[in-house]
Amino acid sequence: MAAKGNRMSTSLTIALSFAATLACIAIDCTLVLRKRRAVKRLLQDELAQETP
Amino acid sequence: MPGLPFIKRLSSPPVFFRTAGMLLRVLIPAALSLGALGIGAALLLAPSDTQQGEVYRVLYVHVPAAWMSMFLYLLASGYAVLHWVYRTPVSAVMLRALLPTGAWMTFAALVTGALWGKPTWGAYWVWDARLTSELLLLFLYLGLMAVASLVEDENKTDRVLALFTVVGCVNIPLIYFSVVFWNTLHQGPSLGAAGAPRMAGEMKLILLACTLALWSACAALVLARARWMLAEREYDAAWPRKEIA
Repeated sequence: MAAKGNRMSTSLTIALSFAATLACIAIDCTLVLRKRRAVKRLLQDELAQETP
Repeated sequence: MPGLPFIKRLSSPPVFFRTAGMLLRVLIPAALSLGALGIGAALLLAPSDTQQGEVYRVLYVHVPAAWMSMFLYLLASGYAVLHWVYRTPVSAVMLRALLPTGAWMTFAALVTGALWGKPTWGAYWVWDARLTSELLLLFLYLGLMAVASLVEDENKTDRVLALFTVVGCVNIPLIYFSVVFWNTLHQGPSLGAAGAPRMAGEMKLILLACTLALWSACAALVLARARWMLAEREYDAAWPRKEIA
């Protein structure tokens, strides 16, 4: 019983570690995409104002 | 030097924008494929460790994240020096773009390290030289990001940021050699150093795949962020509008 509990806790530790690393990359990726969207919108607005 | 004209040309914002865009087309698929391969192999194929059992698998994300946290800071310091010498917008933008990704990698290294520490050492955190200097690196990244966002004059901020980044660089050898200089709870270097614990060949290969995956992902994130920061900074110029038209 104790061995089964240990195995589960080890699996959870490994899963949490991989998930935490992937989450950090995913959050950074979301921040980059938000920046891209904001700058693109800014440039498109400028472009629209220039076009007669 | 034959490669110098190309490097010089890269300091031109439109050339950098286009080159970074082309690199992203290689880096994103590389990060995804190597990541899938590395994670799959780390969880399903890697053998158990004789001393640590299964929990050592955390190492496949912890070690690459820790390496990236230091490597990105060194790279930021390189761009800081470049910015002091040449004052190009590309060097300033690259310095700024490296900081958030570096901070996330440091955070990932600290969290995965804490998760590994609990079953191995019996504690999530100890005030060990390696852990403390890595935490200091996270604070350095956060402090530099705060500096980057606080001051209004962009050019002055870039110079202050470059100076602070270079000064903070002293922490990197401190992190790397902390396990050599001091008697720490954290284990010694896993690879490279003399007398380091030996790793099985297949474990090294899987660690290499995970490291390359994280390297590609970080390079893609930094370049993508730098592209759009550059376009935003130069939005008065004609080239950013031409690029998105």
